[in-house]
Amino acid sequence: MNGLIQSLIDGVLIGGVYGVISVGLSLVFGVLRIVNFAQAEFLMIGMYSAWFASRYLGLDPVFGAFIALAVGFVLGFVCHWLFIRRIINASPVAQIFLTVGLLAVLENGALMIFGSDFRTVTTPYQTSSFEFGDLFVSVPYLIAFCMGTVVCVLLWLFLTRTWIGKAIRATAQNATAARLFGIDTQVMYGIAFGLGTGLTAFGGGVILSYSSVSPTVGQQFVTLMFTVVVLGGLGSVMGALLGGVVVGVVQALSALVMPIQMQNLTLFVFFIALLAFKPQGLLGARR
Amino acid sequence: MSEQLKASGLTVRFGGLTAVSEVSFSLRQGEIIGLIGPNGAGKTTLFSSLVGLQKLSAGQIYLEGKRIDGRRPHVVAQAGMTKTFQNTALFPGMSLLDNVMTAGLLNNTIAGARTLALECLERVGLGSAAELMVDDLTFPQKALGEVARALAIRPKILLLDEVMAALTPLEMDNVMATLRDLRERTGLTMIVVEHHMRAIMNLSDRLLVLNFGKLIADGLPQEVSRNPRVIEAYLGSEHAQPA
Amino acid sequence: MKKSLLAIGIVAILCLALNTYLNPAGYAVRILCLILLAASLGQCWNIVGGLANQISLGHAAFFGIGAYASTILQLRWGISPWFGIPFGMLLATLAALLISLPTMRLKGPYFALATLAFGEACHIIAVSFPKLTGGPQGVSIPFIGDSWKMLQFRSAGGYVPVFVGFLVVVCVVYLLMSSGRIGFYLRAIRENEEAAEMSGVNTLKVKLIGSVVSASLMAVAGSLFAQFTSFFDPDGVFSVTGISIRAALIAIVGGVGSLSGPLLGAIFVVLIEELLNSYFSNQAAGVAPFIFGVVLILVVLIRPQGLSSLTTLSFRGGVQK
Repeated sequence: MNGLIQSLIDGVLIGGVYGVISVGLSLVFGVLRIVNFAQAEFLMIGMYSAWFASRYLGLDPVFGAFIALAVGFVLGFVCHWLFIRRIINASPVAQIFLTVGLLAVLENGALMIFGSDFRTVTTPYQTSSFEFGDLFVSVPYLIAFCMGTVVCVLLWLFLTRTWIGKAIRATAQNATAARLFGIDTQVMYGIAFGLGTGLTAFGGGVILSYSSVSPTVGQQFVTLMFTVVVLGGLGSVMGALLGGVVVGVVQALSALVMPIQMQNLTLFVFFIALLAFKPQGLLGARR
Repeated sequence: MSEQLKASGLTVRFGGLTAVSEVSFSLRQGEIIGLIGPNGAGKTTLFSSLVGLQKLSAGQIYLEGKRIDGRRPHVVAQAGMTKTFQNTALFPGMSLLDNVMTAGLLNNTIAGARTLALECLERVGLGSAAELMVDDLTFPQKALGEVARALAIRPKILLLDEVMAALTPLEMDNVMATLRDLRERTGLTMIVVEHHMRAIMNLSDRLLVLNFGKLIADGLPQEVSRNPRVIEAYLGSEHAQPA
Repeated sequence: MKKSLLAIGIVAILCLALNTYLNPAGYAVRILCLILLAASLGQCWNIVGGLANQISLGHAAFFGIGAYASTILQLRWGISPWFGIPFGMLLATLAALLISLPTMRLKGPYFALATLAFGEACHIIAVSFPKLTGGPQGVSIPFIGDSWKMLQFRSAGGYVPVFVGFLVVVCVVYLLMSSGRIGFYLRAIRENEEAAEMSGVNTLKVKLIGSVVSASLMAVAGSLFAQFTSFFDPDGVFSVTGISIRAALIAIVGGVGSLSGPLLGAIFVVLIEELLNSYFSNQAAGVAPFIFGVVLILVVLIRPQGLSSLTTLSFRGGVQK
């Protein structure tokens, strides 16, 4: 029983991070209607950014994550300006292969620049945890969860309370109408895309405190991110957070019954089943 | 005469919106039924639900006594009922002939499909356009081309969704004559959605009127046109007069 | 149709002639083998991606299944790959049905995602059962010298007839599927699924056929690859970028939906890979995929007709002749 509760705790905490990693993808899809296959690469970029921030600026990943956010945003905005805006109205096939190409470029670019070795950071609290009887709440996980949740809430506030946020949502709902109101939809798309990639990069920075980075780290998270987003409903911020928690719990629980490499297998099967039976997600489509 | 098509209690709901509500009617073989109603009344949704492209929230459909609701659209088509699409849905990048042949391949060889396709095209007056690419056709040609393609599966019941939308009065008369001719020669049953009142009044044996998803009238054209509910639906309540 | 068959025959004969003329253990023949294999990969993908417009990013699943199936049979029970290959095809067929049935109705990007997940799932399975598959370290096929029975040859030249034969088979299958009844149906489904259903086409069945055919041929490619390299690991044969995306890339670069496309694409891709390998040797492992990523982006941006031909194909050598 204790093992079960422990798993649940771990799952929920990790889930918060999964949420913030995936909310970026959800945002990109919700606003631009594009499935960005390269999204997970921004996670990798975020992790490297935070790693360099730690190495050369002495910053803890908790703060490095914000640098990752900035890097991810800028890179995303540039990618949108160079490539993405040209395929917004193109066929799904063109969109698939442009972002797949981007995936290959980013991942292998990192491989060429950084090499294939794994890099980590050490933080003073890496192995500490709070104890409640037999249960442990790992500190890095807890910090990650809090950061993830806070950022998701901030995003939600941004989208609903600020002018830019509302302009982005207007553009998402009806670009033509938004333009008629004087909103520069291209800029909005660029901001939304950059914000999406930035958030995923932020999540990467957060993860760095307990995980290692290599150019291929994104691959492990691709299906996970998409599962979270499909689960929570594309375009929904709270859905992404909730979906993240569900995925975190599923992953943690499956670790109880199967060897560690197979955790993701449950996830993949879950994902495929989800797509097959309820592509609008558990919280329903937002469109 | 027995019913060829019987629909009872057809209901289609999208979340909170009810597009089709408790629609029931039946057809005898060889009838031409006009389906009219204001825009947004649910006509196209009704068509889609009849052929299985749209899932029914409730209701049953019987084709020649066999239940077909819930079956996949190609099963309905193979059983003898098909429809044309409102904004035409010919396969782009192919010739008109290839389009019609695709349907003609049902229970047929390729050679047989070709012959059948040419026949169907002749039947709607497009014999000379067979080799043209779909992208080069005019809108009226596309609409008729779809009718030809639908005919190639040798249907018993054909649902026509605004085939005459872009036609001149002369073209409309031609199409109406073609449809009547089809019915005379092959006993084809049709449900026709049209906005041109004159055309539909002349063509139909019976009229069904849909408004806000509900069937508000079912009868002879002259009767239906005097039905106060129908008048109200189209023109607003000041114009309704007691029957 | 006849013209295309003739073309296939000529290319096949050319390759075989080249093979006898060149040094069978030499570099050029090895390149020829890689090109033939790559062209087959691209053509397999072309069958679903080009004809049926089902964009799959998980074809590595079937490739890996084929590689492991024939190899495990060989290592465990000494069964010849000539039997192992059909067995791999059977497994791949089952796998294709397993993934296709729940995902048939998914639209473009969602379908691609599901196939991606499937490929990764197979990858994990291969890694997680080391007793069966040798785990992450991979498997080797012991060297026994030239043997037609065990499909193993000392030099690359021995494999050329087999690879040529396979490429011919895949191309003929492609031709058959792009013409005739099923060609009509695939085209219709690609252009407008609802209208296809209304024309009496059982879209599910047709898509499944395409999926199964493509998957089983992909498995054969995997088995042949295993024999050729005599060593492989899960990361290699289930690789998203190395197999799945590469297969799509080969088909796309050469011109999707055309018979010759994958062959042209294969020549382009393999030559660049070899060029980069010899230039950078093992230092820059990511250079080739990086460049291919760039190429993919450029193709989408600059030659959109090349990709829009994925949705509205003009048929060559197909039904209209």
